[in-house]
Amino acid sequence: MVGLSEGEQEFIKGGIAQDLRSDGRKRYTYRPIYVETGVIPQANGSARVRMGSTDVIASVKAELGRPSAMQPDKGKVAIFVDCSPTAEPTFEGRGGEELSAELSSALQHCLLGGKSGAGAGIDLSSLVVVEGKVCWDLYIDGLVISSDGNLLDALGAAIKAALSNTGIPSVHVAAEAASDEQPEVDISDEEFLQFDTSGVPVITTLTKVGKHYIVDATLEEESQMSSAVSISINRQGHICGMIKRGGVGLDPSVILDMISVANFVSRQLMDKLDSEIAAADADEDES
Amino acid sequence: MVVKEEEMVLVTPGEVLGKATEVKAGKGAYVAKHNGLVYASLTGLLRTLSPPPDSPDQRPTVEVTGHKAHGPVPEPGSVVIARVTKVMTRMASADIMCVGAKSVREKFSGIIRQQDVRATEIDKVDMHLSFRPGDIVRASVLSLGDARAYFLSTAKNDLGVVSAESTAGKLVYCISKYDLNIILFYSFWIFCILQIASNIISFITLFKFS
Amino acid sequence: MEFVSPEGLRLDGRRPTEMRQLRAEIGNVAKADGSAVFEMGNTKVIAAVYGPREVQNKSQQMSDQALVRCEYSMANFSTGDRMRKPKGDRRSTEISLVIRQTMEACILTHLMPRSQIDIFVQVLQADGGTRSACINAATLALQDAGIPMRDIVTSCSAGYLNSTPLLDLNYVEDSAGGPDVTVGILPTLDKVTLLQMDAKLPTNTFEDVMQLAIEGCKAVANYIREVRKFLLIAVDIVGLCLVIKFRITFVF
Repeated sequence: MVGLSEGEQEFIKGGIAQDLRSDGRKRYTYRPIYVETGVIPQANGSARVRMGSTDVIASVKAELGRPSAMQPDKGKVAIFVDCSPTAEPTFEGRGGEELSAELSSALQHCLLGGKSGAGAGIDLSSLVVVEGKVCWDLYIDGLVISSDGNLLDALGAAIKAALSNTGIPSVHVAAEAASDEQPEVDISDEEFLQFDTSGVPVITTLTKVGKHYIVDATLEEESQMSSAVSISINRQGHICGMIKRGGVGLDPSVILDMISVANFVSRQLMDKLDSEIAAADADEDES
Repeated sequence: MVVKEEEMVLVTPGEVLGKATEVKAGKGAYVAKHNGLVYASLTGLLRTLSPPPDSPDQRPTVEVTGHKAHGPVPEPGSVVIARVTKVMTRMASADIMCVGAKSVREKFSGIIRQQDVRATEIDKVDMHLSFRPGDIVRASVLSLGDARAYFLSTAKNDLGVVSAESTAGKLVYCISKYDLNIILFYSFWIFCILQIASNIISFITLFKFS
Repeated sequence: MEFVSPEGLRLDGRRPTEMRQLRAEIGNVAKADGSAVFEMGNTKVIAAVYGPREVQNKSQQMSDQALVRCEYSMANFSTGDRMRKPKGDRRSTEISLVIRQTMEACILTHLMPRSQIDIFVQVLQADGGTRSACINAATLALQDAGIPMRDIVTSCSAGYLNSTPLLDLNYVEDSAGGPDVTVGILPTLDKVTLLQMDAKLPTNTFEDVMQLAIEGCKAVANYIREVRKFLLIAVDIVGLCLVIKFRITFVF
């Protein structure tokens, strides 16, 4: 963990109170974001996102599977996050598992909605090939390579970028088989369907330090937080998921205020991210 | 030692820098015993230092300076600034914060034993009168100590507590540790007198207005 | 299956004694003392070095030399088929051990008694030769961390398929069932520090294959030396620019 002296702690808190943080940012400014897509050629889609010294990779792999009996018209998406010990020596062995599990479940909350999958940011019904029989299972893997705070937002951004980069092979279903048999499918090597990512939300974490809240907190700032609220908002301005962390309770009015701030900030983040993704995709096409 | 030539020669580990009979291995270089060659052990700039004119060994020294500055590490003889964390009857433990003028990057713990607090009357030292947790101490490193901590010493005139907090919560600086005790003693009395005085004043005001 | 075409080309278009493209980056992990990314074709590995630092587990502390530790892990998405393996399976434990022993042999551990050096290698993409790529990445990361070493260690693999020695096997060639010789050398001292082989091979053929792997190691060593120097110069130039800039601002 970060070890800070009292003076350093005061410096961070005082800076946030005066709207001038240690690295010169304002409270609602993000660190520069760099997006690189197609970093893992073996996956269907992948992206690497860097925010300051936070560095994460997300990959999407699609496999054919069977939809669950409860939701025959929907595909399945699973999110796993792994924290590499390269980011922090304490993640060695099983040390990173707790954080990995926390991040995985937080991402699932923010991107996939509830059990019914109704509020999902990812359109699950577009993953169905043959209703009730064949669907795509998306496996989204996140990997934390270097950690300097705000992992959830970075992972969310990486997943959004990876999904926009994902090509799912188009599937040709052979002639209608008997209703109780698995239909034969033919996966095309050349044709890919682009995934519609316009509805995928971005995650904005507001970290409360003292009386104020900040976006994109570094590890040092995170160590001073009293509580943090992660809100995932899509382009239509819908809240797709929300998580509160940290020990201290929040006043309901503060939460409402945070939501309006998040709404404003996430719009900027989304524009920035979309332009970065477009630039990264163009780069990849060139090379 | 004088720098003989300032050429930009970059080397990587394993590169031959010369024969051991002709050059001495400095920092970032080592001598292989089996063939008597000097090799680089770091990546960085190669520098050749000519020997001091009066030394019997007239071989120049080769050293490699890396680009990365490591955090300072205490070694015997270096003067450190430490913060006292725990005071026991026979020793006090402290966290080393600075080595010389540089702050350390990681945690190093040190121990000041009873016999190392001062130079005279070493058996009569009362640890609790000498240190209190939170005191900032200037000390010199005696040895690498046991497996857990460095052994520190304050037994010199220029060493000892340099900054501390008094019982009244004010920051005090002192010239020697005896002064600190005196200041602490008086500050306590001043505190008591002030306390009594304020009580009297409040009592009087209370009395007046009633 | 035919791994070498009649024209003498391999499945991915290389000649038998040709290596895949090498690429290296240094200093990717800001928080680590040293870090590097190493790519051999599609195999991509990231290594981070922490240390020398205080020993975490006091019972492992050694009073005359540094403790070197290594952990190898594979990302879930690194292989062709997605895997969900628990950490610390036998294969990664074995590779961790191999990397640790190889690196320990070249680090001047006696200069840093009572300290610990951690090497973490993370495979981002596996396409054959991960062992070699990990060792090469670890060498670069150790250099970046400024840890004194006897020599750099470089590693490369070679195999024998269709009665042709092949350099730097990729995944398809590796899983063909032929022998796979992984060699690690100290290039200037000209010593072999790592040698592993599976499957069987006639002795005189083995000599050829091993020689080929050693040639590969030397090629990697040349590449690493060049990259290191180039990047070092780049760092110096940036530093120089900063100094000049600072001076200018100072003058004005």
